[in-house]
Amino acid sequence: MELDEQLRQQFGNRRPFRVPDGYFDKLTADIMSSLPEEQPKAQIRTLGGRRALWAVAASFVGVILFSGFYSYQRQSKEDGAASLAATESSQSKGDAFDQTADYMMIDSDEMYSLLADL
Amino acid sequence: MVLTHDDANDVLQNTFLKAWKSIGDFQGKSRLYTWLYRIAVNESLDLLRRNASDKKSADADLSVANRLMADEYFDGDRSQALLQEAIATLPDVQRTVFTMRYYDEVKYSEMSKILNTSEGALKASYHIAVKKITDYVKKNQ
Repeated sequence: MELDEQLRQQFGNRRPFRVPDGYFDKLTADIMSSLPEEQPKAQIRTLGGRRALWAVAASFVGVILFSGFYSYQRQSKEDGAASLAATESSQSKGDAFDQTADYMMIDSDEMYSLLADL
Repeated sequence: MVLTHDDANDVLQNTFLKAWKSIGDFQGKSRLYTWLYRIAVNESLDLLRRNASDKKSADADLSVANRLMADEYFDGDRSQALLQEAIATLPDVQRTVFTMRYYDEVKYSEMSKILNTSEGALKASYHIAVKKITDYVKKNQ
C-alpha cells in the first residue's frame, strides 16, 4: 500500500481546524475596511491638441500686433518731438531778435536798415 | 499550512488585499482560481518565514502538538495534532506540496501552474514529504 494511503487511513484527510462562528459573515466588511481609500485624482486641465496650437498662434499674433503698435506709437512721439523742437528753435530766434531790439531801444525797422547799410 | 486561526485570518485578508491591488496585473493567462491560490501560498510562506525567525530551534516544533491541543479552533485528536506537528517539520516546498495534495487533492497539473514547478518535481517532493511524515509519526507515537 502506498504510504500516503496509509496516512489517509490512519488520519483521514480532513483539516482538523474549525472556523469561528460568523467568521465569513463579517469577512467582507473586514477586508473592505482594510482597503486603502482611493485618493481622488487631481484634475489637471490641460490644453490638448488643436486648442494648444490655437492658443500658441493667438499668442504670437498678439505679440506681433502689440510690438507693431508700440513701435508706431514710439515713432509718432519721436516725430512730434522733432517738429516741436524745430518750432521752438525758430521761435527762440525771433525772441532773441526782439530782445536785442528792446535792449538797443531801437525798433526792428531801424535794425533792418542798419543791417542793410553794413 | 498555517496552524492558528489568527495566522489563517492574516493570510486570508492579505491574500485578498494583494489580489485587489494587483488585479490590474492579472492578464487572464491562467484561471483566477490559480492566480489567487498562488498569492495565498506565497502569503502563507511569507508568514511562516516571519514566524520561523521568532523560533529559536527545532524544539519549538515539538510543542506544536501541545499548542494545537490547547487551541480552541483545533478540531482534532492527539494523533491529528501529531500529524500537524510532522507537517510543520517539513521544508517550505514539501510542506506546500503535501498540504495541497493530501488535503486539497489538487491535481499535479494544476499544482504545476500554481507553483510554477514541473509535475515531476512536485511528485518527488510529495513522495519525500510522505516518507518523512510517516517516519516522524512512527518515531513520536
